[in-house]
Amino acid sequence: MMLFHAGIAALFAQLCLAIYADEAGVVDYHLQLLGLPSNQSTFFHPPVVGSKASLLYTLSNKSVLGAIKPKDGSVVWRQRLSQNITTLPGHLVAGDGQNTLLAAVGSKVTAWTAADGRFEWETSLPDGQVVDLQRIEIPGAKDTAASKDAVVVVAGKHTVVYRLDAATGAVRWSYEVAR
Amino acid sequence: MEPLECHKERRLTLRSVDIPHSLSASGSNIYLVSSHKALLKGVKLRVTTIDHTTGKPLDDTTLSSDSTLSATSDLLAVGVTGSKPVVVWTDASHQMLKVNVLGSKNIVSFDIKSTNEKVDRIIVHGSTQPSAMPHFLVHYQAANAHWAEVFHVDVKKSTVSKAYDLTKLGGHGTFSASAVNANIYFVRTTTDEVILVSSASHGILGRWPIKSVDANKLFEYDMQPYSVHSASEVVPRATGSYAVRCAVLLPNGKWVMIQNGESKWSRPEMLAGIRRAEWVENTDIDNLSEELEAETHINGLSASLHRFKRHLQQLQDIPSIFANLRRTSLEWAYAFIDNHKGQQSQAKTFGFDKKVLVETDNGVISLLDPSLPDKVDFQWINDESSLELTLNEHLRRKLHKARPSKSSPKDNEVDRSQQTSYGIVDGALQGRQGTNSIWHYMPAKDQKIVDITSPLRSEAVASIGKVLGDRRVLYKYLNPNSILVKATDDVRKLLVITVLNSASGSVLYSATHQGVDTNRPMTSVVSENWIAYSFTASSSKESSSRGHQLVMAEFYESDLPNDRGPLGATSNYSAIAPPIGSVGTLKPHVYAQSFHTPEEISHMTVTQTKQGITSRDLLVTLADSNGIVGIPRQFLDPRRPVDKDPSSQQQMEEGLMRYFPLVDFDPKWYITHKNEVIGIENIIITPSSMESTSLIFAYGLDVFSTRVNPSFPFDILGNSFNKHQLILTVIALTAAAFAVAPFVQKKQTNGLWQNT
Repeated sequence: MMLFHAGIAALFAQLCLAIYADEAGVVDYHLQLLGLPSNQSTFFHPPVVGSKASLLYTLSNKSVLGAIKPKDGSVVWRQRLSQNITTLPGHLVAGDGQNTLLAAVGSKVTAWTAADGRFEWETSLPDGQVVDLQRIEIPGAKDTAASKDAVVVVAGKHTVVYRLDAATGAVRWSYEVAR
Repeated sequence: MEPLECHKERRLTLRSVDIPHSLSASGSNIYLVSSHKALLKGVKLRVTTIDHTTGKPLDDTTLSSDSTLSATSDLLAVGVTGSKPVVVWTDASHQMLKVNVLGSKNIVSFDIKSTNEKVDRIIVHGSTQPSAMPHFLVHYQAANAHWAEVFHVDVKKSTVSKAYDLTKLGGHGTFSASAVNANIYFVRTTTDEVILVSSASHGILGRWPIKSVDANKLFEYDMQPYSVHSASEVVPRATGSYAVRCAVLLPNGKWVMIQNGESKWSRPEMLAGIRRAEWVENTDIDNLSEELEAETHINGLSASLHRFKRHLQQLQDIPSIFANLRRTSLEWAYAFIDNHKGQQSQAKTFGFDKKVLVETDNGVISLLDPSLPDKVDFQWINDESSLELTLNEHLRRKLHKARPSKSSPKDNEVDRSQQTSYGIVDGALQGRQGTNSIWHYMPAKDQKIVDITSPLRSEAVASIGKVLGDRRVLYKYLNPNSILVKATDDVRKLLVITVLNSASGSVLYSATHQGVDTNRPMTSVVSENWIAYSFTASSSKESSSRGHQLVMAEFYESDLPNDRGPLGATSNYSAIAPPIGSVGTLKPHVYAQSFHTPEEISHMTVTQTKQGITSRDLLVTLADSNGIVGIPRQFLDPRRPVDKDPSSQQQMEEGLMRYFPLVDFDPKWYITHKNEVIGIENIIITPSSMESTSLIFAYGLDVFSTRVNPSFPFDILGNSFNKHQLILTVIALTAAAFAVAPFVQKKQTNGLWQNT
């Protein structure tokens, strides 16, 4: 019965709307946009540690995180960080010698692989909006992964500073700023 | 108890709340800079030092910045340098620059030398890489000039000193910093050139003149809606020269890449913020059709005189036709030889080259040409204070200002006192005629109106009835004033759909759905004699079905075929005052069916064609899979027979299928095929000159435009039609006819002679 219906459906479907392969890019056009790149969150960064070529990363005013190939301006990958239409301020940091990007929009901090935009982790910080996000780039600290952790300050009812583990996003410590 | 609490409250109100501003984590500790309003005036900065391993506070100092810093917007930068982060601020009049190295207490002052220009913006650039030298650049932008100063931070003494100036240049410019190993390079992009300097000394390392971008000079743009900034990458080559790549956001919203002075690419990123869009209406054709209509309404003699005058005016166009003859014949020949190019050049005759007017969220109106999507044609700022004007009216006024012609833009010469309109007033829907309120629709208790959908203004309907399998006709209920009102009850999870006659306020149809999730998108569309709406339902005790639903309802004048309903075939009826009495308010007969869709629909619209003959497709936007699907109407026909197969007449003549609750999206229905179209908020559709094709423009975050043929492009010869073979066959047959002619004539003559 299902097959019968599928067959009838297929018969009718052939009459309509299929686009021929040679018309695909000609009859239609698609602009893959990111939104206006924001001042602090646009930079060149090598996608893989040690790579000579770099990609242009940006977090736009529409909360879209994207990687652009500097050679021709095409989008390598992009991720939409927020479904809100209203624009929330966002922060994006890479790390020197790191393969991941950290982005903070609203009250969430997310980590993405720089080369292909795959999702790594997300930490939702309670009770507030992220005001600033930085990587710990302390010179002289032992060159382990722990030295490249993220530090986030969240403003809500209280101002809290968190340190998040770079590999998993877990909160290492938090400090509530005394008023 | 009480006196203690009063004490506490009083203490708290004396000290205002700290607002966190920035973090710096590249020095030896983590610094948090926050600000609070000082007692008398100004803003004090508080620097909290936090140990990075334990998270315990090490130090907490307050900088006495309230003498100069008056607002947090004047706090320019925190931590721009790597190993020795600083905090930089300025005073309200932008005459002094103050720098403090985080961790120390002394504040260094610098005077801002600006001869007579007021400095509008000050931006600080640097690199946070810890291995880079702690140098930073301060960029001063005045109205017509810009310059910069570079400062060095002494690592041992924790002091700041000015290293050198960068010369003042006219116009706007942008700076960016790029760190390569330990060196920092500053890239200066001005209107004409790109200049590279090192942070160590003021010597210019490289200079590249900018070849024009889009035939405009880089920052020369009479509007400055977007502030400019750039990011750059410097690669020192082995030969001692440098390669510089700079990505600049221009004032008109385009993002361009300048590599060694040449512009490599540009992305029109301002189109990601389109607020509304409209297809440009073809005014020439509208004028002609208006004139033809005028001729039909006036009496015979003046109509022929009018036509005479129109023909005489058209005669004046003859010389231009001859001038263009050569070009048009070449185009014809081209079209014959090369099918592909032929299609592109025929886009104009087919009406596929319509342009789109868009307004972006900063108020700039631009004209987009679909054949050259990256090139944005002329733009202007929406300076008309009235928001009621459509974009086409803006275009007409702008063209009229540029080329004032005899005919002024025709504002609607309609008697406004007779027009009816409707709007929401105090949560109820109110209809007005002129200024009088003529009807009122209140939603039920606890319900609120969330949306009103109206049919498109200029919709063409080809037939007044639906022909059934047995050749009888079900007459459609066509009311251009019908509107669909959605009201929801969040507590009881109800969705109430009401179709009203917006001229008289009478209710034509009403439906209630239970268990609806009112936080999810509910879309709807009204077209000729049917409505469609979608919502997401969770199962409740009233209804067990759960998921994304799409409901389709069609209105007919009567439930009996061949019956015109209560009005009969009267040629006139009053929209505002429907006849009362035995007829009651004229309610149409409704066939409705609901279907399940596999995905949630975030927007719904209908294709439009010029004469309405082509069947209409429902275009739905799927937010989850980032695509747009066109559902053919046969699948959504509300007269699909339930629980029995359609009779052979129904199946063959009407194309009805047996009812099945799921409308599965066939992959061939995706008009976005392999493109991931993200964030579509609205789709505008216009008919082209060909009856089979509609043009679509979707905007939101991405921009997508295509042509849709709901019933197969029946009026266009496709690529597979072999024109060459046809011509050759005709030529061959003609040649054969001429070759064989003498033989045939001889045979005919012989036959005549031999018979007698």
